[in-house]
Amino acid sequence: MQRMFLRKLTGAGITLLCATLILFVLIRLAPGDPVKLHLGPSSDVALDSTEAYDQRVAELRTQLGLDRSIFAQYTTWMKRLLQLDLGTSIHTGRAVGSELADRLPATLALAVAALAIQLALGLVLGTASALKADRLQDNVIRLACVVLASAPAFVIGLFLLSFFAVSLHVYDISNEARPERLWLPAVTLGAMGAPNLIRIIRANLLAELGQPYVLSALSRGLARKLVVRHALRNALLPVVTVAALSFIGLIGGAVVIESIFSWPGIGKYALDSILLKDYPAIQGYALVVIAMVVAIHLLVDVVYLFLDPRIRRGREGDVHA
Amino acid sequence: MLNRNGNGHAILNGNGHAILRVQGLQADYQQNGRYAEVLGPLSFELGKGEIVSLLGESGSGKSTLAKALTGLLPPSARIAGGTMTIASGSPVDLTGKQVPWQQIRGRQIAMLYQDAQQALNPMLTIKQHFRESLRFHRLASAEEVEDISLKLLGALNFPDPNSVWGRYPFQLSGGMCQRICLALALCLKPAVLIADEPTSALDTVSQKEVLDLLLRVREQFGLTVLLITHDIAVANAVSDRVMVLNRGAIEEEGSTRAVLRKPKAAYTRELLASRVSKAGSSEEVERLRLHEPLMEVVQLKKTFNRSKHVLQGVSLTLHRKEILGILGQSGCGKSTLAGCMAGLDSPSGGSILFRGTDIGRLRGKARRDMCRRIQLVFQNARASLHPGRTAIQIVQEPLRYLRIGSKRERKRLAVHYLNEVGIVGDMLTRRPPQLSTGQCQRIAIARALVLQPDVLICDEAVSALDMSVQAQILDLLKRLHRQHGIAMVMISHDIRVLRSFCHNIAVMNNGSFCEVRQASALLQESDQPYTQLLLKCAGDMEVGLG
Repeated sequence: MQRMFLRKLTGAGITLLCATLILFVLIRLAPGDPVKLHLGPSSDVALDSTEAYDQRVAELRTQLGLDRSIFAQYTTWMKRLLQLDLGTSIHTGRAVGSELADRLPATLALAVAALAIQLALGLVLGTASALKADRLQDNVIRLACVVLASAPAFVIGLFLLSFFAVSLHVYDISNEARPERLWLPAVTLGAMGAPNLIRIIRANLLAELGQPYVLSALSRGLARKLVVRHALRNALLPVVTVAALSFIGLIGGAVVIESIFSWPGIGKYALDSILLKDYPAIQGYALVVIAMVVAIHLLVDVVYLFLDPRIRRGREGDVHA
Repeated sequence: MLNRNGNGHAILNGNGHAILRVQGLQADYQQNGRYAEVLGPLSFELGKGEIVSLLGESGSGKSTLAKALTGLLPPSARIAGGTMTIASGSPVDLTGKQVPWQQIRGRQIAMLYQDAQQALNPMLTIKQHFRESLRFHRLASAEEVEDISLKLLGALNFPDPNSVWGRYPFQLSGGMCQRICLALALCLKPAVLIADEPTSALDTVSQKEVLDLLLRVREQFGLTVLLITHDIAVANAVSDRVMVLNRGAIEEEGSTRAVLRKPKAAYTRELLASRVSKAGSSEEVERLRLHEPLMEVVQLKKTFNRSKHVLQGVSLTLHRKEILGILGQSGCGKSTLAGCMAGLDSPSGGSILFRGTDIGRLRGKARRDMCRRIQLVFQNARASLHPGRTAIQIVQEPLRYLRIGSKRERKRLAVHYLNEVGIVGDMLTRRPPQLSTGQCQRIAIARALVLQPDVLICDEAVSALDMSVQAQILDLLKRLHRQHGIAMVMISHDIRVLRSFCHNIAVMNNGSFCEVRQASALLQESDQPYTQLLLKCAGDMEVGLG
């Protein structure tokens, strides 16, 4: 058990390392110069000649170490990283670490709230759908899922924002991460991710209800409600993975919703950094997200160990008598 | 010991009244919006303490009957008529919505299913299963559960019930799970037990153990058993009376002795005749030795997880045109051996020589060519076929993968081999879900044959099939063997399948062969205790069947 865990941890470390290296190289290969983007075009800068502008660009580049080879830059970045230093943002001049730390709680709060809503919707509607399979209730739920899943994020987001903030005046338009501003983006993200979970829970539950152990439990005279609960527990096992993937999506991909609701999370920060080609900021963001992805995958493995006796006990060996 | 009770009727008559009386039972299945009758009208009685076998092929309505009597028919089916009387109660109209199933299921009629392992919830321990059943029916207080259950498990041949108490179903063998299902059924003290093919998924030894238990349980608890089976030997071994079911109607009914030895109905005679016959002359086997060895397995070892030794030095020689049987209980390593021989599994030690070349050392194209020469047919035919492809597409697949022939040529070959195994006409374009299990197995065989292999390995290829379908597939394999001279390895837990078919039989136990002998010799006598046990179990069940 410990060895397996250690192996997974090592694998996770290697994944992290490779991912950062690929990303490091890729953003440097993409067109655009962070220094020029930071300074603005030469006409906007209060320098008397193009020559002076070029000189200023070269100076800044040396100062930031961007004139060295990619490999040299990577080793420097790595060395700093080992001292838990994510570098300094080219654009704001602040430490990337502290900038991310300021914004991470907002993103995490949003992701957790949205996931909770997704799971609640998935569980209730998915079960309701499976228990009345192919009847009216099921068809209505499935139709709603298709509509929700096919609507683009900005459409739903803008619609809800205009409805609650402009028409009803129950939602503040600002850019602060206050708890009372959390519900609307969370509901939006929750409703958008729910169809996936509803469909999976419905399909899993239907499959489990067809299993021999369900028939066998019913034939022992157990109440249907009790038997459905058994099936549901088995049906929810694979949902752990789906929920984890959904959570990862919420952390890394909530950019659109964060922008629409001006929610100051890391998604919006990443988008701004990418537009400005702020290398250290992009790298820092990517590192944090990738680390979280890797950590969540590890966590899922551990959770299964607790939830599924087949994984937990599988190694103990079978009894033959 | 199996002690058969020949005078089943005496029990019924002696007791005077029936414990279960079914009258005019009719069940329909919905097909394309219309109801098609699958069962009945059907009437029968079970006397107290009787074991009655309901014998029939798949599709005869056996399982529908079991489901109808427990109110567990799928939504696509309905009961069109009939009443059921349990013990001295008043008749219950089965068509009504007000049938008190909660009181009937478990408490009066208990069920035993084919796949016991699947019939237990994989997430619950044995303890939790018992606690739930006993507590739900208020038959025991929380403290009494353990006591009652362990006592019952002890009575059902668990030498140490405590050792299984905290286990999960997947940690136990199929036979153990079936005994636990039996204990779960018995703890609710039902009057009637309906056992739906309770032993067909088990190997010969576990099969006999479960059947013995049924007999003992009948003695101890006065239980009435309706045993649903397709296996004549099973019915012969335990039942007092036999009812033969064909297309939803009872063809023949009577004491086991009368029905199985002097069948009156033509259908029963047909069913009995389809039982696998005995064969295998020794001159034929001697002649085989003259052929050069085709495949040699030398001291093959396979270890899983560094500590589980599944194969412990297996050696065998397969000659050209030889049919070698491998006999053994489930878990003895038969399928692992098959996997290694077909190149699907890599052995941990030893070597497999095919015409003198070690197949373990081949790589790339040479290995692919070798795989083509050795083909495998699996137990679960349906699961081994792509459900979304038609029969023709399935059989063409290996040709396409190995880039053999042109598109037209491949299709011609596929149709040819499908026709040869009896898949013709519009069946060619049907998909596995639209075909019967027997037809699926035919397609699987055609898929193996289309590559014109030298060796065909059949891993329990017929054990999931009905008697009559089993006989058809075995006939087919025999004919193919005659026509193409393919060497075959038949793997089975069923000695009845192997003895009719094989030249030589290797008996396998715990990952090694305990003996390899000529089929005819092995069946007459054996000095190996393990073989004797297998022979005895099979023999006991067939006493008097001839």
